[in-house]
Amino acid sequence: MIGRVSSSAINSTLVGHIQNNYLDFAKLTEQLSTGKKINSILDDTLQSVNIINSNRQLGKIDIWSANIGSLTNEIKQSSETIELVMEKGQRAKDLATSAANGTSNKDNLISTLTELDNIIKSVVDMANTSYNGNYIYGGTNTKTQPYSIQYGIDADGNPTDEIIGIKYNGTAIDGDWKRQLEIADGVFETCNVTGMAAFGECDVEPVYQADGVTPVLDADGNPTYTENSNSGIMGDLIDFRNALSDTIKKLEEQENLPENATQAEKDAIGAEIKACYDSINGLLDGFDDSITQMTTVNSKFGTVTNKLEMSTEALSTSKLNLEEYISGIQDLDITEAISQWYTSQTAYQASMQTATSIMSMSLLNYM
Amino acid sequence: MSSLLTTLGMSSSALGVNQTAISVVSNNIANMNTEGYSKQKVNLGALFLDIPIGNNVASQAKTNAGVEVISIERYTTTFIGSYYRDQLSEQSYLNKEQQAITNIANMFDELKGQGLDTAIEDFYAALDNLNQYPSDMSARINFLDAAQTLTNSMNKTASNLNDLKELSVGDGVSYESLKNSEIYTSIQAINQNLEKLANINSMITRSQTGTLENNSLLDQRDQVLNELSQYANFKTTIQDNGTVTLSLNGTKLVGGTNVLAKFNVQTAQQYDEYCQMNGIVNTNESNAVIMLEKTNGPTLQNINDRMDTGLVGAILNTSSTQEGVNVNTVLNDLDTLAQTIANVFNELQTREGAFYLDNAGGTIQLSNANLEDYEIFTTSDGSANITASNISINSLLLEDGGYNKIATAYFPDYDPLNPDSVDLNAVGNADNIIAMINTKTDNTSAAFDSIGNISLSDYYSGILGKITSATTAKTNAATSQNAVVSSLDTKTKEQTGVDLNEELTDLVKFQTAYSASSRVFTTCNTLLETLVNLGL
Repeated sequence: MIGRVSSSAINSTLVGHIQNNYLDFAKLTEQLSTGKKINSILDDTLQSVNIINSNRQLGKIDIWSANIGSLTNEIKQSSETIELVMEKGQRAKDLATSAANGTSNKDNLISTLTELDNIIKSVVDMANTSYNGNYIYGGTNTKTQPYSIQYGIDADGNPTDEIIGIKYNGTAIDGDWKRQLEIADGVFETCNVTGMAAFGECDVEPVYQADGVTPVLDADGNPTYTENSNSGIMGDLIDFRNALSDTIKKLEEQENLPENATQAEKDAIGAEIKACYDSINGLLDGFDDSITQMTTVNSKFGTVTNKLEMSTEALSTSKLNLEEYISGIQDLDITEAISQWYTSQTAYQASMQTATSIMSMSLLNYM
Repeated sequence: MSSLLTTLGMSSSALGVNQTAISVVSNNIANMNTEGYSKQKVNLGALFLDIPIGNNVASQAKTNAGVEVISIERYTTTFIGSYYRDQLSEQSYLNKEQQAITNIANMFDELKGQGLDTAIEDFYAALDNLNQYPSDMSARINFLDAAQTLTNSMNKTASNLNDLKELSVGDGVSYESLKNSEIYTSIQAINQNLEKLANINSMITRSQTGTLENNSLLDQRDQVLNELSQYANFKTTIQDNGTVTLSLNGTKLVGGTNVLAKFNVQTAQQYDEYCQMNGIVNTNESNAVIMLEKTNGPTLQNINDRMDTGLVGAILNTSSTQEGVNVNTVLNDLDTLAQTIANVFNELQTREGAFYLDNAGGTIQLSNANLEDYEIFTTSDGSANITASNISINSLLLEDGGYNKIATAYFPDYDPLNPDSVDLNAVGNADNIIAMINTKTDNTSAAFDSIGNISLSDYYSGILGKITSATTAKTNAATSQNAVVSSLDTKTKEQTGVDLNEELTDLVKFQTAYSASSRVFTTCNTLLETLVNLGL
């Protein structure tokens, strides 16, 4: 029985070979039609896990890149807004400088007051800028306008159109409420500065009697106000406006002095006007400080923007590397695959051809 | 001198012998494709007379008496037998295990869009979006959608795994489900083969009363033994009379012409009831419990431990709670993942200092005292334990306006006695969401203890890694075992199979011998006629 071969053994061996060749052929055909070496985790269990991890990382990079884009835009808008406010602050300071030198007459000062009111209104508008539906200077109170202008009242308690204060409504009266976006695993970048930190406020309220409706009047019969807070450029603007309107009042009093006023009375009012000019002059340093404060905030924005630019570069580099890595694992070398495909096709055909000729051969053909 | 009549007798025996030989060839050719058939071969022997011959040539010639068939022998090989059956048993065990792990791996084929990775990542992406627009309705709804997709994927995967388990061993409760399971079918098949074997034994006993063997019955016997060995590695002892004694761990299943013990299978619930009735400690963890019902003797209620080989062993393994990667262990891992997800996010959602929006979407309110109403993840079936099968989104959050209940804001300095410690207008405060996003990298909180303080993604990767490496290992084991069996198969077929050329050669050989014998017969006949006519 040495070297015995049986028909059924040959047949099953041949079928086995054909199936193996067909399997190779089918596998290569699938790889070629998808362009990928690894189409299922069963194809290569080890590398599949690498592909999955890398794809996960790529997904994160996409999110971080989108966040960086969003951060950059919001910071750019915040920065532009703060620069515009600085310009207005500078203009207000110029007005203050020229008002303080005492050469302006009453009419000049009145027109200065009108311009100052416009400056105040546009500064408040700028501080109320929103980005993507959020007020950018409101801290985390993103849905309420962060600044509102406060108007005075008359002796009966009815509102007038005289600006008396600028109130901050955002969060973080004490505290620094940040809105943050993730730019790397566990790394968050802040996209906002509260209006309080950038512009300050000047919250002024009328003083009422116990009934809460009737204003408390001063000796001259005017309503009285309490100043709850005063800081930043907002405080400066209101201070300047108060000083200016005091000056105008004194100049009016001077004009309205009766013909027979004594020299002492004239001197007294002159001294008061002088004091008013001095107080305007005293505000100039405050303006400088507030502008410096805004410059500091703006340079912080600049630092963050630079950091974000660097992160963008780093992210796009690692994205490129990851894509290259995945492609290296998963993508098919088409040239090699096609030549293998032809080889396996030939092997498949050959195995079928030999099988049919061997299986049809027997002594029966010669009997 | 031998007589003409003796010669005539010799040629007639040759005719008969060759005819028998041709009939064996014919049987071989007829069965050339019969599975398990072994080629039969006619052994011829010279007939002789046992007489004293001395120096007498004529007597010497008289001792020749023609030809006879001594035996019809089947080709056997050393590869058939217990070694081959051990290998068959191992093969069906490994192939079943491989099939089971491949089914699981297919459910987690991330490259084909299966699995949970995308759902987990999308959940974190939705959190990122919510961080950017915490007071935005669409960001909130988008987050709940992502959370729901995550729970749905977990439910779906768990239900698929449970289906696989039910397909193997039933659901452990319903007998109907057990009857549709693989374990039930296998047990039935074993029982049928036991019957068949007892039947063959009794036929062999009836048929093989002398020294000659009934080749076809022996082929059938080997075939049944091979079949049985695929289900479990039974011990077989072949007796002198050709019958087989089959036993499992010392318990005789088939002996002589009788089935001595039959298998049966019961649900885990049935077994539990039995244990309670008889005061037995139930340590069974499988959904199906195999029993051994002895014809003469008590029924063994649970022999799962003994059934650790072959197809049955592998089916029981696919759902065992022992170490390894199978439906049960993967389900347990997913349950742990589901519990961790629920713990981590519910804890942040309901912690002190976490605030959500009121229904107008404006200001932020204090979390209610009834914290459970604000949990993000809960169970769909009301049970206290969160599993991958029942994890779902709190329905209160899915109600109209329920999305506002997501606690986006967090005030670390919140003091319940001091209302000024929070700013009720801070709708843009997303610090609680940031804390949730941070769970990607910061896994130190106690809620992460259950998964070893690693991130959810890493834990899931761990599950994937376990599945893929088990798939590789089991595929390799099955492939090499298939090669072993297939080479044994080929060797067996080579040595015992019918070869057409061989049979045709035999056919021509015996045909020629038959023709020649008939020529001798005719010649003798003519000679006898001549002799008869001599006297006329």
